[in-house]
Amino acid sequence: MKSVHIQYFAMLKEQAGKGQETLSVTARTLGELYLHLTEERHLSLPLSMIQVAVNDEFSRLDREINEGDRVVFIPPMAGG
Amino acid sequence: MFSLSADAIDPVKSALLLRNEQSGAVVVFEGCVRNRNQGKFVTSLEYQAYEVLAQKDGEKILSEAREKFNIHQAICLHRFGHLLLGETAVWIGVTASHRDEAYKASRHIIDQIKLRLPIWKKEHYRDETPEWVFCKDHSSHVHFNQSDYYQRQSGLVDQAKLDRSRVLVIGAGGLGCPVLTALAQAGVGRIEIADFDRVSLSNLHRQSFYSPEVVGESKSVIAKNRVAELNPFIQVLSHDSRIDIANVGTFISGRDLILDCTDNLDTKYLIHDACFKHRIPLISASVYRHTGQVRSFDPEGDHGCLRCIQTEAPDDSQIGNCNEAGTLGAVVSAIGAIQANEAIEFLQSHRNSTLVETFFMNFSDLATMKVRNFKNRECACCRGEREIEETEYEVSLNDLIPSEVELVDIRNHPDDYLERLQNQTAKKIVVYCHRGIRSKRLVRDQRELGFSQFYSLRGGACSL
Repeated sequence: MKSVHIQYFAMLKEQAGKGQETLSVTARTLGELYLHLTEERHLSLPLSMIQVAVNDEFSRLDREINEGDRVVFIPPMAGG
Repeated sequence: MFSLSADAIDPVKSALLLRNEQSGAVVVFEGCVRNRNQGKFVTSLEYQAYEVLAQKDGEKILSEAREKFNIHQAICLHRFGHLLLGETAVWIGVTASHRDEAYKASRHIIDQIKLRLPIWKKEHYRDETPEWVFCKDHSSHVHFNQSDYYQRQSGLVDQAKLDRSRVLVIGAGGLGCPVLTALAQAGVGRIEIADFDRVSLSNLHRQSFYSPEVVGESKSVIAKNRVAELNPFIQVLSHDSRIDIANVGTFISGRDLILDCTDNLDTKYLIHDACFKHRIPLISASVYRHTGQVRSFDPEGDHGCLRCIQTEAPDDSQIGNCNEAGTLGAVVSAIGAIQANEAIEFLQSHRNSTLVETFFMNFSDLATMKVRNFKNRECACCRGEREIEETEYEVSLNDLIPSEVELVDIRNHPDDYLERLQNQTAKKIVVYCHRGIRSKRLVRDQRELGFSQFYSLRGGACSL
Protein backbone atom coordinates (compact mmCIF):
# COMPACT_ATOMS: atom_id res chain seq x y z
CA MET A 1 0.00 0.00 0.00
CA LYS A 2 1.23 3.46 -0.88
CA SER A 3 -0.12 6.69 0.42
CA VAL A 4 -0.87 9.24 -2.32
CA HIS A 5 -2.39 12.67 -2.26
CA ILE A 6 -4.95 13.03 -5.04
CA GLN A 7 -6.35 16.25 -6.43
CA TYR A 8 -9.31 16.46 -8.80
CA PHE A 9 -9.69 19.26 -11.29
CA ALA A 10 -12.65 20.90 -13.08
CA MET A 11 -15.42 18.43 -13.91
CA LEU A 12 -13.67 15.60 -12.05
CA LYS A 13 -13.86 17.67 -8.90
CA GLU A 14 -17.60 18.03 -9.41
CA GLN A 15 -18.00 14.29 -9.97
CA ALA A 16 -15.79 13.23 -7.06
CA GLY A 17 -17.60 15.69 -4.84
CA LYS A 18 -14.28 16.84 -3.39
CA GLY A 19 -11.20 18.69 -4.54
CA GLN A 20 -8.65 16.42 -2.92
CA GLU A 21 -8.04 13.45 -0.66
CA THR A 22 -5.23 11.26 0.63
CA LEU A 23 -5.64 7.55 -0.05
CA SER A 24 -3.73 4.34 0.54
CA VAL A 25 -3.72 2.55 -2.77
CA THR A 26 -2.60 -0.75 -4.23
CA ALA A 27 -2.57 0.46 -7.86
CA ARG A 28 0.84 0.13 -9.51
CA THR A 29 0.55 2.86 -12.15
CA LEU A 30 -1.25 6.19 -12.45
CA GLY A 31 -3.56 4.70 -15.08
CA GLU A 32 -4.54 1.87 -12.75
CA LEU A 33 -5.16 4.37 -9.98
CA TYR A 34 -7.48 6.38 -12.23
CA LEU A 35 -9.44 3.28 -13.24
CA HIS A 36 -9.82 2.38 -9.58
CA LEU A 37 -11.11 5.88 -8.87
CA THR A 38 -13.59 5.87 -11.76
CA GLU A 39 -15.43 3.17 -9.81
CA GLU A 40 -14.83 4.45 -6.30
CA ARG A 41 -15.56 8.07 -7.09
CA HIS A 42 -17.95 7.64 -10.03
CA LEU A 43 -15.79 9.55 -12.52
CA SER A 44 -17.31 9.54 -15.99
CA LEU A 45 -14.34 10.27 -18.25
CA PRO A 46 -12.46 7.39 -19.86
CA LEU A 47 -8.75 7.07 -19.20
CA SER A 48 -7.93 8.17 -22.74
CA MET A 49 -9.20 11.68 -22.01
CA ILE A 50 -7.35 12.37 -18.81
CA GLN A 51 -4.12 14.19 -18.24
CA VAL A 52 -2.25 13.50 -15.07
CA ALA A 53 0.34 15.50 -13.18
CA VAL A 54 2.58 14.01 -10.51
CA ASN A 55 4.51 16.24 -8.14
CA ASP A 56 3.71 19.27 -10.34
CA GLU A 57 4.78 17.72 -13.63
CA PHE A 58 2.72 16.21 -16.44
CA SER A 59 3.29 12.51 -16.65
CA ARG A 60 2.38 9.51 -18.77
CA LEU A 61 -0.32 7.28 -17.37
CA ASP A 62 1.97 4.24 -17.28
CA ARG A 63 4.26 5.87 -14.73
CA GLU A 64 4.61 3.93 -11.48
CA ILE A 65 3.28 5.36 -8.27
CA ASN A 66 5.69 6.17 -5.44
CA GLU A 67 4.94 6.66 -1.78
CA GLY A 68 3.89 10.23 -1.08
CA ASP A 69 3.20 11.20 -4.72
CA ARG A 70 0.98 14.20 -5.25
CA VAL A 71 -1.29 13.26 -8.15
CA VAL A 72 -3.62 15.60 -10.04
CA PHE A 73 -6.16 14.33 -12.56
CA ILE A 74 -7.02 16.94 -15.18
CA PRO A 75 -9.83 16.57 -17.71
CA PRO A 76 -9.54 18.28 -21.09
CA MET A 77 -11.06 21.76 -21.31
CA ALA A 78 -12.44 23.10 -24.52
CA GLY A 79 -14.46 26.20 -23.74
CA GLY A 80 -13.51 29.58 -25.04
CA MET B 1 -19.50 57.59 -54.43
CA PHE B 2 -17.85 60.95 -53.95
CA SER B 3 -18.90 63.89 -56.07
CA LEU B 4 -17.76 67.51 -56.26
CA SER B 5 -20.15 69.86 -57.94
CA ALA B 6 -20.81 73.53 -58.59
CA ASP B 7 -24.53 72.80 -58.80
CA ALA B 8 -26.85 72.95 -55.82
CA ILE B 9 -27.23 69.69 -53.88
CA ASP B 10 -30.81 68.42 -53.81
CA PRO B 11 -31.18 66.56 -50.49
CA VAL B 12 -34.44 64.89 -51.49
CA LYS B 13 -33.09 63.54 -54.75
CA SER B 14 -29.83 62.51 -53.11
CA ALA B 15 -31.65 60.52 -50.43
CA LEU B 16 -33.11 58.31 -53.16
CA LEU B 17 -29.63 56.93 -53.73
CA LEU B 18 -29.74 55.34 -50.31
CA ARG B 19 -32.89 53.24 -50.18
CA ASN B 20 -32.37 49.51 -50.23
CA GLU B 21 -33.94 46.56 -48.50
CA GLN B 22 -30.91 45.27 -46.64
CA SER B 23 -30.25 48.50 -44.76
CA GLY B 24 -32.05 48.99 -41.49
CA ALA B 25 -30.29 52.28 -40.88
CA VAL B 26 -30.02 55.30 -43.16
CA VAL B 27 -28.05 58.22 -41.74
CA VAL B 28 -27.88 61.49 -43.61
CA PHE B 29 -25.73 64.41 -42.55
CA GLU B 30 -26.01 67.83 -44.17
CA GLY B 31 -23.55 70.64 -43.61
CA CYS B 32 -25.27 73.96 -44.39
CA VAL B 33 -24.26 77.58 -44.65
CA ARG B 34 -25.19 79.31 -41.41
CA ASN B 35 -25.55 82.97 -40.72
CA ARG B 36 -23.02 83.46 -37.95
CA ASN B 37 -19.46 82.40 -37.35
CA GLN B 38 -17.29 83.51 -34.44
CA GLY B 39 -19.44 86.55 -33.78
CA LYS B 40 -19.58 87.72 -37.37
CA PHE B 41 -22.70 87.88 -39.54
CA VAL B 42 -22.10 85.62 -42.51
CA THR B 43 -23.97 86.37 -45.72
CA SER B 44 -22.56 83.74 -48.07
CA LEU B 45 -19.72 81.29 -48.56
CA GLU B 46 -17.30 80.59 -51.34
CA TYR B 47 -15.68 77.19 -51.68
CA GLN B 48 -12.66 76.59 -53.82
CA ALA B 49 -11.48 73.06 -54.40
CA TYR B 50 -8.32 71.53 -55.78
CA GLU B 51 -10.61 69.33 -57.78
CA VAL B 52 -8.42 66.43 -58.92
CA LEU B 53 -6.92 65.94 -55.51
CA ALA B 54 -10.17 66.54 -53.64
CA GLN B 55 -11.89 63.92 -55.79
CA LYS B 56 -9.17 61.39 -55.03
CA ASP B 57 -9.05 62.16 -51.32
CA GLY B 58 -12.83 62.08 -51.08
CA GLU B 59 -13.01 58.65 -52.67
CA LYS B 60 -10.26 57.46 -50.37
CA ILE B 61 -12.07 58.69 -47.28
CA LEU B 62 -15.23 56.85 -48.34
CA SER B 63 -13.44 53.61 -49.09
CA GLU B 64 -11.65 53.80 -45.75
CA ALA B 65 -15.00 54.26 -44.05
CA ARG B 66 -16.41 51.22 -45.84
CA GLU B 67 -13.38 49.25 -44.71
CA LYS B 68 -13.46 50.51 -41.15
CA PHE B 69 -17.18 50.25 -40.46
CA ASN B 70 -19.70 47.57 -41.14
CA ILE B 71 -21.79 49.63 -43.60
CA HIS B 72 -23.44 49.10 -46.97
CA GLN B 73 -23.14 52.48 -48.71
CA ALA B 74 -21.22 55.68 -48.14
CA ILE B 75 -21.98 58.64 -50.38
CA CYS B 76 -20.63 62.16 -50.16
CA LEU B 77 -21.56 65.19 -52.27
CA HIS B 78 -19.51 68.33 -51.81
CA ARG B 79 -20.22 71.76 -53.25
CA PHE B 80 -17.83 74.30 -54.55
CA GLY B 81 -18.59 77.79 -55.85
CA HIS B 82 -20.66 80.48 -54.21
CA LEU B 83 -23.28 79.33 -51.68
CA LEU B 84 -26.02 81.37 -50.04
CA LEU B 85 -27.31 81.03 -46.48
CA GLY B 86 -29.15 77.71 -45.88
CA GLU B 87 -27.68 75.98 -48.90
CA THR B 88 -26.22 72.51 -48.47
CA ALA B 89 -22.42 72.57 -48.65
CA VAL B 90 -21.80 68.93 -47.95
CA TRP B 91 -24.17 65.97 -47.99
CA ILE B 92 -23.22 62.58 -46.54
CA GLY B 93 -25.39 59.50 -46.72
CA VAL B 94 -24.57 56.18 -45.07
CA THR B 95 -26.55 52.94 -44.97
CA ALA B 96 -25.92 49.94 -42.75
CA SER B 97 -27.75 47.04 -41.18
CA HIS B 98 -27.79 48.83 -37.85
CA ARG B 99 -27.71 52.44 -36.74
CA ASP B 100 -24.60 52.26 -34.61
CA GLU B 101 -22.21 51.63 -37.47
CA ALA B 102 -24.09 54.06 -39.73
CA TYR B 103 -23.82 56.90 -37.21
CA LYS B 104 -20.16 56.22 -36.56
CA ALA B 105 -19.28 56.03 -40.24
CA SER B 106 -21.14 59.26 -41.00
CA ARG B 107 -19.31 61.08 -38.22
CA HIS B 108 -15.99 59.64 -39.35
CA ILE B 109 -16.51 60.78 -42.94
CA ILE B 110 -17.35 64.39 -42.11
CA ASP B 111 -14.43 64.62 -39.66
CA GLN B 112 -12.02 63.27 -42.26
CA ILE B 113 -13.39 65.58 -44.94
CA LYS B 114 -12.90 68.58 -42.70
CA LEU B 115 -9.43 67.39 -41.90
CA ARG B 116 -8.07 66.19 -45.20
CA LEU B 117 -9.90 67.53 -48.24
CA PRO B 118 -8.11 70.30 -50.17
CA ILE B 119 -11.11 72.60 -50.12
CA TRP B 120 -10.89 76.21 -49.01
CA LYS B 121 -13.69 78.31 -47.66
CA LYS B 122 -14.08 82.07 -47.92
CA GLU B 123 -16.69 83.67 -45.70
CA HIS B 124 -18.51 86.81 -46.81
CA TYR B 125 -19.81 89.01 -43.96
CA ARG B 126 -22.45 91.67 -43.65
CA ASP B 127 -20.19 94.48 -42.40
CA GLU B 128 -16.63 93.21 -42.85
CA THR B 129 -14.20 92.15 -45.53
CA PRO B 130 -14.35 88.50 -46.63
CA GLU B 131 -11.92 86.04 -45.04
CA TRP B 132 -10.49 82.63 -45.96
CA VAL B 133 -11.07 80.13 -43.20
CA PHE B 134 -9.36 76.81 -42.90
CA CYS B 135 -11.48 73.75 -42.49
CA LYS B 136 -8.80 72.25 -40.29
CA ASP B 137 -9.53 74.93 -37.71
CA HIS B 138 -12.98 73.50 -37.28
CA SER B 139 -11.93 69.94 -36.88
CA SER B 140 -12.47 68.29 -33.54
CA HIS B 141 -10.21 65.44 -34.59
CA VAL B 142 -7.85 64.46 -31.82
CA HIS B 143 -4.24 64.45 -32.91
CA PHE B 144 -1.77 62.28 -31.09
CA ASN B 145 1.24 60.28 -31.97
CA GLN B 146 2.48 56.83 -31.17
CA SER B 147 4.60 57.84 -28.18
CA ASP B 148 1.58 59.51 -26.55
CA TYR B 149 -0.40 56.32 -26.98
CA TYR B 150 2.24 54.02 -25.48
CA GLN B 151 3.50 56.46 -22.84
CA ARG B 152 2.49 54.46 -19.77
CA GLN B 153 4.01 51.20 -20.95
CA SER B 154 7.23 52.68 -22.27
CA GLY B 155 9.41 51.24 -19.53
CA LEU B 156 7.71 47.87 -19.60
CA VAL B 157 7.90 46.61 -23.15
CA ASP B 158 10.13 46.70 -26.20
CA GLN B 159 7.66 48.63 -28.37
CA ALA B 160 9.63 48.17 -31.59
CA LYS B 161 9.61 44.39 -31.20
CA LEU B 162 5.87 44.31 -30.60
CA ASP B 163 5.35 46.61 -33.57
CA ARG B 164 7.21 44.18 -35.84
CA SER B 165 5.17 41.18 -34.63
CA ARG B 166 2.55 39.40 -36.70
CA VAL B 167 0.01 37.31 -34.84
CA LEU B 168 -3.07 35.32 -35.78
CA VAL B 169 -5.88 35.02 -33.25
CA ILE B 170 -8.17 32.09 -34.02
CA GLY B 171 -11.59 32.57 -32.44
CA ALA B 172 -13.06 35.98 -31.62
CA GLY B 173 -15.26 34.79 -28.78
CA GLY B 174 -14.97 34.77 -24.99
CA LEU B 175 -11.21 34.42 -25.03
CA GLY B 176 -10.66 36.20 -28.34
CA CYS B 177 -12.23 39.50 -27.25
CA PRO B 178 -9.93 40.12 -24.26
CA VAL B 179 -6.92 38.71 -26.11
CA LEU B 180 -7.46 40.99 -29.11
CA THR B 181 -8.06 44.01 -26.90
CA ALA B 182 -4.86 43.49 -24.93
CA LEU B 183 -2.71 42.73 -27.98
CA ALA B 184 -4.00 45.77 -29.87
CA GLN B 185 -3.50 48.10 -26.92
CA ALA B 186 -0.01 46.74 -26.30
CA GLY B 187 0.83 47.60 -29.92
CA VAL B 188 1.27 44.24 -31.64
CA GLY B 189 1.87 45.56 -35.14
CA ARG B 190 -0.18 43.20 -37.24
CA ILE B 191 -3.15 41.31 -35.87
CA GLU B 192 -5.23 38.89 -37.90
CA ILE B 193 -8.54 37.57 -36.66
CA ALA B 194 -10.04 34.32 -37.95
CA ASP B 195 -13.58 33.35 -37.01
CA PHE B 196 -16.34 31.86 -39.16
CA ASP B 197 -19.07 32.42 -36.62
CA ARG B 198 -21.93 34.92 -36.50
CA VAL B 199 -22.74 36.87 -33.35
CA SER B 200 -25.54 35.22 -31.39
CA LEU B 201 -27.52 36.51 -28.42
CA SER B 202 -26.01 33.87 -26.15
CA ASN B 203 -22.52 35.31 -26.83
CA LEU B 204 -23.23 38.78 -25.50
CA HIS B 205 -22.87 38.09 -21.75
CA ARG B 206 -19.16 37.29 -22.12
CA GLN B 207 -17.92 38.60 -25.48
CA SER B 208 -17.33 42.29 -25.01
CA PHE B 209 -17.08 43.33 -28.68
CA TYR B 210 -20.66 42.46 -29.47
CA SER B 211 -23.88 44.25 -28.67
CA PRO B 212 -27.47 43.25 -29.46
CA GLU B 213 -27.48 45.39 -32.63
CA VAL B 214 -24.91 43.16 -34.35
CA VAL B 215 -26.52 39.78 -33.67
CA GLY B 216 -26.28 37.74 -36.87
CA GLU B 217 -23.26 39.60 -38.23
CA SER B 218 -19.77 38.27 -38.85
CA LYS B 219 -17.71 38.12 -35.67
CA SER B 220 -14.40 38.56 -37.45
CA VAL B 221 -15.58 41.75 -39.18
CA ILE B 222 -17.10 43.33 -36.05
CA ALA B 223 -14.06 42.32 -34.00
CA LYS B 224 -11.72 43.82 -36.58
CA ASN B 225 -13.58 47.13 -36.49
CA ARG B 226 -13.51 47.25 -32.69
CA VAL B 227 -9.82 46.41 -32.53
CA ALA B 228 -8.90 48.92 -35.22
CA GLU B 229 -10.73 51.63 -33.29
CA LEU B 230 -8.68 50.92 -30.18
CA ASN B 231 -5.30 51.58 -31.71
CA PRO B 232 -4.71 53.55 -34.92
CA PHE B 233 -1.05 52.53 -35.05
CA ILE B 234 -1.52 48.85 -35.86
CA GLN B 235 -2.78 46.85 -38.81
CA VAL B 236 -5.83 44.65 -38.27
CA LEU B 237 -7.16 42.07 -40.73
CA SER B 238 -10.16 39.77 -40.58
CA HIS B 239 -10.81 36.35 -42.07
CA ASP B 240 -14.42 35.21 -42.05
CA SER B 241 -13.46 31.55 -42.32
CA ARG B 242 -13.36 28.29 -40.47
CA ILE B 243 -9.92 26.83 -39.87
CA ASP B 244 -9.75 23.37 -41.38
CA ILE B 245 -7.18 20.86 -42.51
CA ALA B 246 -7.02 22.38 -46.00
CA ASN B 247 -6.38 25.99 -44.98
CA VAL B 248 -4.64 25.78 -41.62
CA GLY B 249 -1.13 25.76 -43.12
CA THR B 250 -1.77 28.93 -45.11
CA PHE B 251 -3.31 30.67 -42.13
CA ILE B 252 -0.46 30.06 -39.71
CA SER B 253 2.58 30.25 -42.01
CA GLY B 254 4.65 33.40 -41.75
CA ARG B 255 3.12 34.46 -38.44
CA ASP B 256 5.27 34.95 -35.35
CA LEU B 257 2.68 33.53 -33.00
CA ILE B 258 -0.74 31.86 -33.11
CA LEU B 259 -3.28 32.35 -30.34
CA ASP B 260 -5.80 29.56 -30.03
CA CYS B 261 -8.98 31.05 -28.61
CA THR B 262 -11.28 28.37 -30.02
CA ASP B 263 -13.83 26.40 -28.08
CA ASN B 264 -13.55 22.79 -29.22
CA LEU B 265 -10.92 20.10 -28.98
CA ASP B 266 -10.99 19.09 -32.64
CA THR B 267 -9.93 22.56 -33.72
CA LYS B 268 -7.50 22.93 -30.83
CA TYR B 269 -5.66 19.76 -31.82
CA LEU B 270 -5.75 20.69 -35.50
CA ILE B 271 -4.12 24.05 -34.72
CA HIS B 272 -1.67 22.44 -32.29
CA ASP B 273 -0.54 19.77 -34.76
CA ALA B 274 -0.28 22.26 -37.62
CA CYS B 275 1.81 24.64 -35.50
CA PHE B 276 4.29 21.85 -34.75
CA LYS B 277 4.37 20.75 -38.36
CA HIS B 278 4.99 24.29 -39.61
CA ARG B 279 7.18 25.21 -36.60
CA ILE B 280 5.10 28.18 -35.47
CA PRO B 281 4.78 29.08 -31.76
CA LEU B 282 1.32 28.74 -30.22
CA ILE B 283 -0.45 29.86 -27.08
CA SER B 284 -3.62 27.98 -26.24
CA ALA B 285 -6.23 28.68 -23.58
CA SER B 286 -9.42 26.97 -22.48
CA VAL B 287 -12.06 27.32 -19.84
CA TYR B 288 -14.49 24.95 -18.21
CA ARG B 289 -17.07 26.56 -15.91
CA HIS B 290 -15.00 28.15 -13.11
CA THR B 291 -11.64 26.83 -14.25
CA GLY B 292 -9.26 27.87 -16.95
CA GLN B 293 -5.86 26.97 -18.31
CA VAL B 294 -3.15 28.55 -20.45
CA ARG B 295 -0.20 26.84 -22.12
CA SER B 296 2.40 27.98 -24.64
CA PHE B 297 4.16 25.81 -27.20
CA ASP B 298 7.39 26.50 -29.04
CA PRO B 299 8.24 23.82 -31.62
CA GLU B 300 11.89 24.89 -31.46
CA GLY B 301 11.88 24.76 -27.67
CA ASP B 302 12.31 21.99 -25.16
CA HIS B 303 9.00 21.75 -23.38
CA GLY B 304 7.02 19.23 -25.38
CA CYS B 305 3.56 19.19 -26.87
CA LEU B 306 0.14 17.76 -26.07
CA ARG B 307 0.97 14.52 -27.88
CA CYS B 308 4.01 13.87 -25.65
CA ILE B 309 1.75 12.42 -22.98
CA GLN B 310 -1.33 11.48 -24.97
CA THR B 311 -0.61 10.36 -28.50
CA GLU B 312 -4.30 10.35 -29.42
CA ALA B 313 -6.41 13.46 -29.04
CA PRO B 314 -9.34 13.16 -26.67
CA ASP B 315 -12.80 13.52 -28.10
CA ASP B 316 -14.75 16.50 -26.88
CA SER B 317 -18.13 14.89 -27.24
CA GLN B 318 -17.70 13.78 -23.63
CA ILE B 319 -16.68 17.05 -22.07
CA GLY B 320 -18.35 20.37 -21.88
CA ASN B 321 -17.73 23.40 -24.01
CA CYS B 322 -19.34 26.76 -23.34
CA ASN B 323 -22.66 25.68 -24.80
CA GLU B 324 -23.31 22.84 -22.40
CA ALA B 325 -21.12 23.53 -19.41
CA GLY B 326 -21.75 27.23 -19.05
CA THR B 327 -19.20 29.95 -18.66
CA LEU B 328 -18.87 33.39 -17.17
CA GLY B 329 -17.52 36.59 -18.72
CA ALA B 330 -15.25 37.32 -15.77
CA VAL B 331 -13.62 33.89 -16.01
CA VAL B 332 -12.97 33.84 -19.76
CA SER B 333 -11.85 37.48 -19.68
CA ALA B 334 -9.32 36.78 -16.93
CA ILE B 335 -7.97 33.71 -18.71
CA GLY B 336 -7.87 35.66 -22.00
CA ALA B 337 -5.92 38.44 -20.31
CA ILE B 338 -3.38 35.92 -19.02
CA GLN B 339 -3.12 34.38 -22.48
CA ALA B 340 -2.48 37.83 -24.00
CA ASN B 341 0.12 38.61 -21.35
CA GLU B 342 1.94 35.38 -22.23
CA ALA B 343 1.85 36.41 -25.88
CA ILE B 344 3.29 39.85 -25.17
CA GLU B 345 6.09 38.26 -23.12
CA PHE B 346 6.81 35.70 -25.82
CA LEU B 347 6.87 38.17 -28.70
CA GLN B 348 9.60 40.17 -26.99
CA SER B 349 11.86 37.47 -25.61
CA HIS B 350 10.77 34.10 -27.06
CA ARG B 351 10.21 33.07 -23.46
CA ASN B 352 7.34 33.02 -21.03
CA SER B 353 6.32 31.01 -18.02
CA THR B 354 3.60 28.90 -19.65
CA LEU B 355 6.11 27.39 -22.08
CA VAL B 356 7.62 25.70 -19.05
CA GLU B 357 4.53 25.17 -16.93
CA THR B 358 0.84 25.00 -17.80
CA PHE B 359 -1.11 27.48 -15.71
CA PHE B 360 -4.42 26.48 -14.18
CA MET B 361 -6.76 28.60 -12.16
CA ASN B 362 -9.95 27.80 -10.32
CA PHE B 363 -11.98 30.97 -10.01
CA SER B 364 -14.34 29.63 -7.36
CA ASP B 365 -11.59 29.73 -4.72
CA LEU B 366 -8.85 31.58 -6.69
CA ALA B 367 -6.58 28.54 -6.37
CA THR B 368 -3.85 28.40 -8.97
CA MET B 369 -1.74 25.47 -10.06
CA LYS B 370 1.30 25.23 -12.29
CA VAL B 371 2.20 21.90 -13.85
CA ARG B 372 5.60 21.41 -15.45
CA ASN B 373 5.21 20.49 -19.12
CA PHE B 374 6.53 17.10 -20.16
CA LYS B 375 8.63 16.37 -23.23
CA ASN B 376 8.79 12.92 -24.72
CA ARG B 377 12.04 12.64 -26.72
CA GLU B 378 10.39 10.14 -29.07
CA CYS B 379 7.38 12.34 -29.88
CA ALA B 380 6.78 12.57 -33.65
CA CYS B 381 4.55 15.62 -33.29
CA CYS B 382 7.29 17.62 -31.54
CA ARG B 383 9.67 16.79 -34.36
CA GLY B 384 7.12 17.98 -36.93
CA GLU B 385 6.81 14.50 -38.39
CA ARG B 386 3.22 13.83 -37.46
CA GLU B 387 0.75 14.15 -40.31
CA ILE B 388 -2.13 16.45 -39.56
CA GLU B 389 -5.40 14.61 -39.49
CA GLU B 390 -8.89 15.83 -39.16
CA THR B 391 -11.62 13.90 -37.50
CA GLU B 392 -14.01 13.98 -40.39
CA TYR B 393 -17.00 13.02 -38.33
CA GLU B 394 -18.68 16.36 -38.83
CA VAL B 395 -20.01 18.36 -41.77
CA SER B 396 -21.36 21.88 -41.90
CA LEU B 397 -24.75 22.77 -43.24
CA ASN B 398 -23.12 24.97 -45.88
CA ASP B 399 -21.09 22.08 -47.26
CA LEU B 400 -24.09 19.88 -47.95
CA ILE B 401 -25.69 19.28 -51.33
CA PRO B 402 -29.32 18.40 -50.53
CA SER B 403 -29.69 15.76 -53.23
CA GLU B 404 -26.65 13.86 -51.97
CA VAL B 405 -27.51 13.55 -48.31
CA GLU B 406 -30.14 12.10 -46.06
CA LEU B 407 -30.63 14.24 -42.98
CA VAL B 408 -31.73 12.24 -39.92
CA ASP B 409 -32.85 13.60 -36.55
CA ILE B 410 -31.71 10.91 -34.10
CA ARG B 411 -33.85 12.28 -31.30
CA ASN B 412 -37.00 11.01 -32.91
CA HIS B 413 -36.86 7.79 -34.88
CA PRO B 414 -38.22 4.22 -35.15
CA ASP B 415 -36.33 1.37 -33.50
CA ASP B 416 -34.91 -0.12 -36.67
CA TYR B 417 -33.65 3.14 -38.14
CA LEU B 418 -29.96 2.42 -37.62
CA GLU B 419 -30.12 -0.84 -39.48
CA ARG B 420 -31.88 0.86 -42.39
CA LEU B 421 -29.26 3.62 -42.47
CA GLN B 422 -26.40 1.13 -42.35
CA ASN B 423 -27.77 -0.47 -45.49
CA GLN B 424 -28.31 2.86 -47.21
CA THR B 425 -25.03 3.50 -48.96
CA ALA B 426 -26.08 5.61 -51.94
CA LYS B 427 -26.16 8.85 -49.97
CA LYS B 428 -24.24 10.44 -47.12
CA ILE B 429 -26.16 10.02 -43.89
CA VAL B 430 -26.03 13.23 -41.88
CA VAL B 431 -27.36 12.70 -38.37
CA TYR B 432 -28.08 15.39 -35.84
CA CYS B 433 -29.39 15.94 -32.34
CA HIS B 434 -29.85 19.16 -30.38
CA ARG B 435 -26.22 20.30 -30.31
CA GLY B 436 -24.53 17.65 -32.42
CA ILE B 437 -22.85 15.97 -29.48
CA ARG B 438 -24.81 12.72 -29.25
CA SER B 439 -24.92 12.51 -33.05
CA LYS B 440 -21.13 12.81 -33.22
CA ARG B 441 -20.80 9.95 -30.74
CA LEU B 442 -23.15 7.87 -32.90
CA VAL B 443 -21.09 8.62 -36.01
CA ARG B 444 -17.89 7.60 -34.27
CA ASP B 445 -19.48 4.29 -33.24
CA GLN B 446 -20.81 3.66 -36.76
CA ARG B 447 -17.43 4.46 -38.34
CA GLU B 448 -15.78 1.99 -36.02
CA LEU B 449 -18.27 -0.61 -37.21
CA GLY B 450 -17.21 0.19 -40.76
CA PHE B 451 -20.11 2.38 -41.93
CA SER B 452 -18.33 5.25 -43.57
CA GLN B 453 -21.45 6.99 -44.90
CA PHE B 454 -22.24 8.50 -41.48
CA TYR B 455 -21.57 12.16 -40.70
CA SER B 456 -22.73 14.38 -37.89
CA LEU B 457 -24.14 17.84 -38.45
CA ARG B 458 -21.78 20.35 -36.82
CA GLY B 459 -23.69 22.37 -34.25
CA GLY B 460 -26.71 20.03 -34.40
CA ALA B 461 -30.30 21.20 -34.75
CA CYS B 462 -29.19 24.60 -33.46
CA SER B 463 -27.43 25.19 -36.78
CA LEU B 464 -30.52 24.38 -38.89
